[in-house]
Amino acid sequence: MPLVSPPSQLASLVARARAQECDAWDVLLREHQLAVYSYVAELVRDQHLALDLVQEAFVDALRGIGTLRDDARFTPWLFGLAHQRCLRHFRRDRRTRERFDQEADLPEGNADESLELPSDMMVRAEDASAFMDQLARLPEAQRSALLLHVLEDFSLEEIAEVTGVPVGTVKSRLHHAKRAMRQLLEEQP
Amino acid sequence: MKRTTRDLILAHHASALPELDARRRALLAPRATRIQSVGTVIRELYWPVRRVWLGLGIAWALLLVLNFTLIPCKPQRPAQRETLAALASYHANTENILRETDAAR
Repeated sequence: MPLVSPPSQLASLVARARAQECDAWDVLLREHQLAVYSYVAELVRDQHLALDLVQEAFVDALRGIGTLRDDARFTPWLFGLAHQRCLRHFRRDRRTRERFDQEADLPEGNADESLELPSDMMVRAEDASAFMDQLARLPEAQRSALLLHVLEDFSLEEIAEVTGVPVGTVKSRLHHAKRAMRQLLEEQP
Repeated sequence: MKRTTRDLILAHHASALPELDARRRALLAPRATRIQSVGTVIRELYWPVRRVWLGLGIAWALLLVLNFTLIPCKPQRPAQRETLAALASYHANTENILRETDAAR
């Protein structure tokens, strides 16, 4: 599946969206909707709730486009709005919130060690189900970091911007998530 | 067959696309209608009788110009000196009347 518009085209679309051009908004939201939905759905593990949260994030985007400082950073900004919506949902559920908060305390360990799990890493069709199951088993914060890395190829800084946590925490979460996923993929025959 | 992790995740959630499309359209529809309605009003109300609207506009502009031309710049007020003179005269008259009344007694 293709990535969203190239940066120059994206910036031009965002500039038109700022002028409240419906066509530009339609293209922008259409290009991002599946990735944002996948992110939210994998976090909240509920399809209907995910649809509602994505819609709320899109409403936030339509209303708050004026707060976006750099047009080229529309994608992390939109993911940030979706992430905030997920957090608001988690805050209502005390157990989820506690789980989410505790994960930030994970030791960094060998976080500098390079564990590759880029968006273009190949997974066999027969391993797809196991991959999704393993992804679902990851703690929310690690899953969030991994999804942002895999879905949009965001840098550590961008993931930190989306999730509102320090870069070091993102690095640690991503390291643990990659290690868990890599373990699974290597275990597959 | 192998797929990238990104494609795998997106394909896993692709069944939500029709609902996402429907919600996106519903979200943007009121905006599109609002913008369209302004365009429709201009197109259907103004454009067919544009000469009449133009004539009315010119007539209103002329009336405004005439109105502003005919109104004096400052409202006329009696000068302060005239007011004081009138007050002094009123005072003198009142004193005369009182004096005449006293003399009559």
